[in-house]
Amino acid sequence: MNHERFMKIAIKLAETALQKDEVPVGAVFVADGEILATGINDTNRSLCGTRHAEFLGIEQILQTYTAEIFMKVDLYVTVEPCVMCAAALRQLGIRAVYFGCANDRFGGCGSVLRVNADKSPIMSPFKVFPGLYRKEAIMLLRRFYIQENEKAPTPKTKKSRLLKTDFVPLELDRYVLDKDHLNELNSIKLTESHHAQAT
Amino acid sequence: MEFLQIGNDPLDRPLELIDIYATIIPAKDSRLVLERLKDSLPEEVHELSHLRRLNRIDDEGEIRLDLAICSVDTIDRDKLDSIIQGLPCSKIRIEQAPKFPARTKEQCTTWNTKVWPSFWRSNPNCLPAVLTADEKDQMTYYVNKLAEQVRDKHKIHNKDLPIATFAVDPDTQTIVATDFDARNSSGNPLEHSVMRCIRKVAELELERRREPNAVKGYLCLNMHLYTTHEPCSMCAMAMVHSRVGRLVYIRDMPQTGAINPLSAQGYCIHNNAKLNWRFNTWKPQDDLQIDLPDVSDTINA
Ligand SMILES: [Zn+2]
Ligand SMILES: [Zn+2]
Repeated sequence: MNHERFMKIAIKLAETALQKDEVPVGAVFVADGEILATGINDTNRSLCGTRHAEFLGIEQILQTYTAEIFMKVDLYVTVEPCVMCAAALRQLGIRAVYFGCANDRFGGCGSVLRVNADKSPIMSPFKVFPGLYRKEAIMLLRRFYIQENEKAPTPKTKKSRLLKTDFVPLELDRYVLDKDHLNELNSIKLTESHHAQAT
Repeated sequence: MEFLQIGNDPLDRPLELIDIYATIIPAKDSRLVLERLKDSLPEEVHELSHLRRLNRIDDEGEIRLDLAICSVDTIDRDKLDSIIQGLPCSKIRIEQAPKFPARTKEQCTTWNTKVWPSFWRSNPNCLPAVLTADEKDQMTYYVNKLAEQVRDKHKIHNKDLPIATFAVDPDTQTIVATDFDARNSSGNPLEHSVMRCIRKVAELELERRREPNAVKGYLCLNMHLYTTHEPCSMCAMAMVHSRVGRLVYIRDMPQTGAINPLSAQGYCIHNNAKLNWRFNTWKPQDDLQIDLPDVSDTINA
């Protein structure tokens, strides 16, 4: 499988977002091994709090395909989709989501709410596979917050300008639903240092 | 028009009951009995401060009181019997009482005719639950106008779902943006009216900022959103991201809504302690009197 290749592209996209002063999140949508669309966060440029990387990619796909395509689409995204995006992806019927790091404040796939899998009379759930290129995704976010702080009219204390390089382990229980799901996650082969279990 | 506030407790939570011990005592001995109970009973295991502990019995002769002692879960019957031994109490009875306080005064009055009486107090767990007369008038005006617009639009264009949203600036009392559901005509199932309306607010802000010395707005900070149907999780979270100040919606969406505690997964995204922004939310008390074209309840509004 090409998980590594797609996630690397997502990380690259997040880098571009960072250069544009956007929260560094990159998204890659894949079907049948082909990239259908990509997206980066666009909230600051657009002055719109809902222009997340996922939405830009989704809109790109729907210019060419009908929504039925999402049955066979997987998303690779550097940060866990927020509650809004997780709800959107579920309404579209996406197949699976692979992500880098948890979204502690807004995460909709287990960190704050579990919009992707909670019982619904209408929509089927989707599975998430966390921890791919997690450290890279976290370091991008940290670099963003330091960059923002330096631009602020009154930068905060020196401490907040230091780039931390330690990582707390990922709480897998929040995202992994059962044993089969865990086996599936563990079978994802990445370069050793990039795997969730390696942290 | 009257409005109900949507908090985290279901507005029409069914009456849940709990067993309590009760006894009848002469009014003149109430102090003695209450003091003895206070000293001897273990701490109440439920939160029952809403119960009316002493109830006057209207009959001839000596004044008597019906006393709620404590919940059955708090103490064994044998132990209670030994505590009240020697006190002027009638034989202990088991009665049923509401486990939680009533949400409305009317509900409380109805309950009191059926089970052990309780007090009605406005719920402190809710966000500030007072609307001024002016606010109610404004909300009534916008709710009616929104319903009218969705009806009118539906007459000439019924390919799309009759769901609509206004963003209102409460300071200037103007409608900043209006938008309608467009999932069918656009082919994008995520083109809900709330998402479109929020995006329109941003587009207008971008345009405004091209003017020299424009005063900058920030997202939908403190704006009031009016929408015909209870928003889905996506739209509700979009409002959190956009710093909306208030939501007014007309119809509940019990299978897909993300606001009302009784809807779908009960997320209460407008007032969820795990999220960093909250907005108070209201709906018309008699929403069914507001005429809206039908929307299937399997729709994510
Ligand atoms: Zn998002
Ligand atoms: Zn919606």
